[in-house]
Amino acid sequence: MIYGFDFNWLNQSAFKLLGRGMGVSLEITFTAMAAGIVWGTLIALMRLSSYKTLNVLAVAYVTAFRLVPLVMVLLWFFLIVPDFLQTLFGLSSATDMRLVSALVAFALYEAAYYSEIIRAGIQSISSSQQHAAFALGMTYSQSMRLIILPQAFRNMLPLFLTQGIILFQDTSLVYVVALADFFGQAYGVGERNGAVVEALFFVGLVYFIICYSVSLVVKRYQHNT
Amino acid sequence: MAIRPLSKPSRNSSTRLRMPVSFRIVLPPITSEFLNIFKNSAIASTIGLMELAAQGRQLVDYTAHSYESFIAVTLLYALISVCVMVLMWRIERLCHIPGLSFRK
Repeated sequence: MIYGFDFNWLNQSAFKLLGRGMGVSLEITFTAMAAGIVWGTLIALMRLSSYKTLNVLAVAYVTAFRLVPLVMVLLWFFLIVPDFLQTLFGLSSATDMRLVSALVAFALYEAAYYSEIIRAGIQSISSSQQHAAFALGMTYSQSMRLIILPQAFRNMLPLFLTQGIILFQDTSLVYVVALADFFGQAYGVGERNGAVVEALFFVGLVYFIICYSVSLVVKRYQHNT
Repeated sequence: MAIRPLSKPSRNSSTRLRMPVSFRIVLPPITSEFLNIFKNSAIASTIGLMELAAQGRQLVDYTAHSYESFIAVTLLYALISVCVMVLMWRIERLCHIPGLSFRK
């Protein structure tokens, strides 16, 4: 017998919950992208700098995050961040820290991956650009800020967006800290209405539409340059 | 293509020349994909499979020592990843073509 699909549960209240979940997903994605790019740039610069200590620190950071699964990182930060922030700001132990700890975990984890992209992007800029900047009397930081990084970021934009798609898909992993993102909300709604299969189907469709449209944007951008 | 002037039959050109060279070029990306597969196995706990991450969370419930059990699980994952990396470095060095270096 063919499975009878039942989508009657997709009413206004369900959409409200799903919308709230999508808000959480997008919040994590954009925060982690922004923080990851800023922190990742710093790590990439540390990695490329001529100071040995900074080099070792950057390599250790990236390797540590590449060796451990995202699920474990999320669990770790769920364990550490609430304690840390509660002692720092003197919050009560009942404050909900799941979203904050997930945000911190994603930001630090993605920074490791973004730093690798940014390092490759900086290295793809010909070194004669930097020599020319030095010849004009610029300092190292000026040459990086005004000459190298703007060109590198322009080249790296498609990769940033591709990594952003992966990050958006990974946000569904926040289920391990019992945080309800889009996937978690939809699963819950489906379970309450006895329509888990339909809910998963719907979630898959929405994720596909979003990720596919972003990847089309990436393709369009790559054709233009 | 370099193989044309050597007047080999063209069906050999992909198996004898292109594939051996391209497999060596794609070894580094394959390494990182290999690492990803091992790490993504942690997601299998979603459907209730008792793999390493899920066992770690169970260990927390049994022993109430959350830091220690997470440290153990994290170190085990790191150990797996390091083994994979070392293995792939070995393979890369074994398959290295002289004069065609992708790694300094």
